[in-house]
Amino acid sequence: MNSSARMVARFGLLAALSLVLGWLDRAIPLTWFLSGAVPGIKLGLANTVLLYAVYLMDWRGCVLLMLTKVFLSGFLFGSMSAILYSLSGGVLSLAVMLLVRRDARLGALGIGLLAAASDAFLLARHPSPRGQMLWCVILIAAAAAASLAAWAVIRKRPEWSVLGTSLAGAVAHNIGQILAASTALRTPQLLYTYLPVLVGVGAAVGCLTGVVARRVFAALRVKSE
Amino acid sequence: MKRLHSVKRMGLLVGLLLLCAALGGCGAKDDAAARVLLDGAVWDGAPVAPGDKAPLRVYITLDGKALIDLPFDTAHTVSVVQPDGGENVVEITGDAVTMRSANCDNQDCVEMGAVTADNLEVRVMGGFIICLPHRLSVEVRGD
Repeated sequence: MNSSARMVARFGLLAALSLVLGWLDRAIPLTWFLSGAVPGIKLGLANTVLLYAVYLMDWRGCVLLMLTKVFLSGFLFGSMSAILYSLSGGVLSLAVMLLVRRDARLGALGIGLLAAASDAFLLARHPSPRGQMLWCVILIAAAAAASLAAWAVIRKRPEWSVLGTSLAGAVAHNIGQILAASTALRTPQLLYTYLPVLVGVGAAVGCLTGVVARRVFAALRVKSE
Repeated sequence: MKRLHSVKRMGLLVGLLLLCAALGGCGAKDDAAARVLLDGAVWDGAPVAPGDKAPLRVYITLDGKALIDLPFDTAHTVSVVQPDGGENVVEITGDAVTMRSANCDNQDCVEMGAVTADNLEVRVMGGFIICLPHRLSVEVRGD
């Protein structure tokens, strides 16, 4: 088969898959988690498609795929403002994933340290956490530990590199969205109340999607080291 | 040649980051015509008197611009109606503030639950309830 036809076919397949997974992300009610305390969080399964593209396509293809996904799923399921937020998350996340792809260990280590710092920051503001804050502090600590464990795993077994890229991408996505939201609402206070939590949640979710992506890569025999 | 390529790539990434920041700015729209209804009637703009118990107040802002602020400890219902049809109803019961309803597409603000004097410090969002699609924020804070 001619290689440009192959590319178009692959692109269409990935775009369709990311739309369906984006719908699934919206359908899985993670907002129940902590009884609505952490609004706007999603599993980010659609990100596994972008991860796949990051390892399989050049950066132009990745950018095009990200834009296609953001605009189509925005028009299909969301609103104009949803497009703005997911675009800023998508752009930052893709940029970080393309950078981290070269050395995923750095990604996992960086996210582990970032999550640990976020946890320390939350603990400094709330020395004796209770209620929602207690659960968040525990979750973020677990996410930091998982990211550092991912760093150790990638050092030993480079085929797990995609885990580091996934972690960095998920956290960058959350950072991009909160930056857009706090700029649009002119509420910089959001950054120090909510950003640490989003970094932790991003690391937790990034671990999950990274493991999913690794399984998919193994089944499809994509090399990610 | 390879070096030039990587310089171009970095330039592109920086450009994308700038785009990302600019988009945040574009998210804000003109809110001149938003209407505020206080307890069912169009609010005349007169300051709402402070309550006597708690020093906390409820600040409602649209696109970062102050719309109205009220005492935390007095029961009121505030509706914010925007020209594009967006409507949020904020309910202050006297000891809690909730987003009672919103005709936005994700209902995150409604599901965020109540802010009370008690949970102010332990809520993930602090004293904030935010409706992102309508760019409306409700904050409970002391002066």
